[in-house]
Amino acid sequence: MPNVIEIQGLTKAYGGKVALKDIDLTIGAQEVIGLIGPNGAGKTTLIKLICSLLRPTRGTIAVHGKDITKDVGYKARMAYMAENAGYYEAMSAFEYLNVFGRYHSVPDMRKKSIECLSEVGLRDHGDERIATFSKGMKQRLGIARCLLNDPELVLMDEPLTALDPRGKADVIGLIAALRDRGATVIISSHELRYMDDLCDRLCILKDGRLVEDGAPQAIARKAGFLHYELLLRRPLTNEDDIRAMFPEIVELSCTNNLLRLKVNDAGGFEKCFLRFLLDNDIEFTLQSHQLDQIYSEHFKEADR
Amino acid sequence: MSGQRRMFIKVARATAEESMVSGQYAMSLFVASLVTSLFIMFTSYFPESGVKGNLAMAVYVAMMVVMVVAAVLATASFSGEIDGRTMDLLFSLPIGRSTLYLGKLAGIMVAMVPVVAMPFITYLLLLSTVTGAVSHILLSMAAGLFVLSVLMIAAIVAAVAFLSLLLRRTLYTLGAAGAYLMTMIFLAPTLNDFSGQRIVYAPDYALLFPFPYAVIAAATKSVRVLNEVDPLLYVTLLLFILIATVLGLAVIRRMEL
Repeated sequence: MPNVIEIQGLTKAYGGKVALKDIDLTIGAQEVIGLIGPNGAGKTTLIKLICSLLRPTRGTIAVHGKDITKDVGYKARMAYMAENAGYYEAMSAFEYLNVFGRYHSVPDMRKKSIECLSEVGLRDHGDERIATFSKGMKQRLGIARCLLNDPELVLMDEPLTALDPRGKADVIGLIAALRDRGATVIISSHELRYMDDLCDRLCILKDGRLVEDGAPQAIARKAGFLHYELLLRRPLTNEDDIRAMFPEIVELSCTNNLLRLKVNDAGGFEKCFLRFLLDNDIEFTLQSHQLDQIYSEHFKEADR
Repeated sequence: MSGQRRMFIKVARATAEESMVSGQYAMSLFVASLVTSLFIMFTSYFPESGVKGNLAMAVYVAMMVVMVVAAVLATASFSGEIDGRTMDLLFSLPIGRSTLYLGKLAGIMVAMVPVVAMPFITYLLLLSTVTGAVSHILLSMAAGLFVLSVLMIAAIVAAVAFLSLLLRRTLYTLGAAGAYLMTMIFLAPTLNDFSGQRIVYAPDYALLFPFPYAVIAAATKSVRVLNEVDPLLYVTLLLFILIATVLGLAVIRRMEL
């Protein structure tokens, strides 16, 4: 599949502070890329550079083979959702979409607005003023705006920030719908457990450098061990049996029904272990995700 | 029509519509008209100033209101978008930054023309009601003054748009624009007086605000009264608009959000 974005030697400095350094990245069509990293790692800077809200200090970004500093045409099929995006609060949702639809030359604006608002569950709020919307409703409206021009490239900076769990799940569903429509999606977030399911590829940024780039499973394997935390309904009585049955378990501890596992997985552990839990009628809830562990290992030093 | 030209028209149209649907816009039309009417009523007690002098004075006073409206609209269109974090969304659209800037300026001017016209319409309507007819000379003077007023407002809009992009914050821009206008309101007459002409109610008086003209006018002592408009005035205003626009373009093209 042809590349949608090609980034070469991208560096961005604010005065003397380097926010991004020598980033090389190629993103193919219909890929969903997750940018993860702590605050100040350079996620927002990278997204803004792709949107040409910022100018690179060095390096190039090409979308569909064209240098973005020379041609704004790629934005016709691009959608950008900023972190804490602003809204024209005095407008209704319909009026707001109308403003952006006009610039994208959407033919039947009213019909398209209704479609987009229906898709994000705001159909009945189209005539209400945005000022009366909750944070979650505004995020949905932002996504509705992103749907207006049937984008091929969608950039979302922290779209899950400040949403309640249901709001997060809804927004994740909407992003998945964008992916299913064939859009290339670049999303930055701290919500690692959602990123794993949603993204085809993860890019971990640390101090402005790209330290990991690959499929979530590949990154997990590269990290060496898999980590699991399971909250069990009843205490585990057969720890030794488990160790014997699963030699790939390197560490096992169970306190207050919280089972912690460190696994040297060669593949297939999850399925076998799940079968074991079900066969022994042990109910459980997954407490922490593999990516949390990888993330905390990568940024141990930064957190200190 | 090329893509960016189409975008220019769309931006101008959206900006004009956005400005004109606001409650403040209707209020500014009303206030410009009201100030003119009240001023005419007041000056009717001083018949010695003459019809032409009254028109010039009315325009001078009404233009103060109009200038403030222009400054507020220009601030809202640039600093307001940056402050409200909507400018980055506009930058993410397939609109060149120069197109966006020029489109917004054009849109503001489209919205401002009826506000600028309001004092003239009010004055001429009142005069025709009282006297039954308006002289050809007065109409021609009003037309000349109107064109100059539009140019002056364009100069204010371009200057405030530039300040707006430079300072980015609505409050700072309004403060700087206010300081600029106040300086010009007081500086221009002072410079004008220094030029030795002591023109009190000249129409040019109202149009001295853009700083370069005030300086040139004072330096060259070229200010003339009433219907004899100095061509230098047009040239200076156009030059001022051009410089402010080019500066604004330079800022927006390099702007990072």
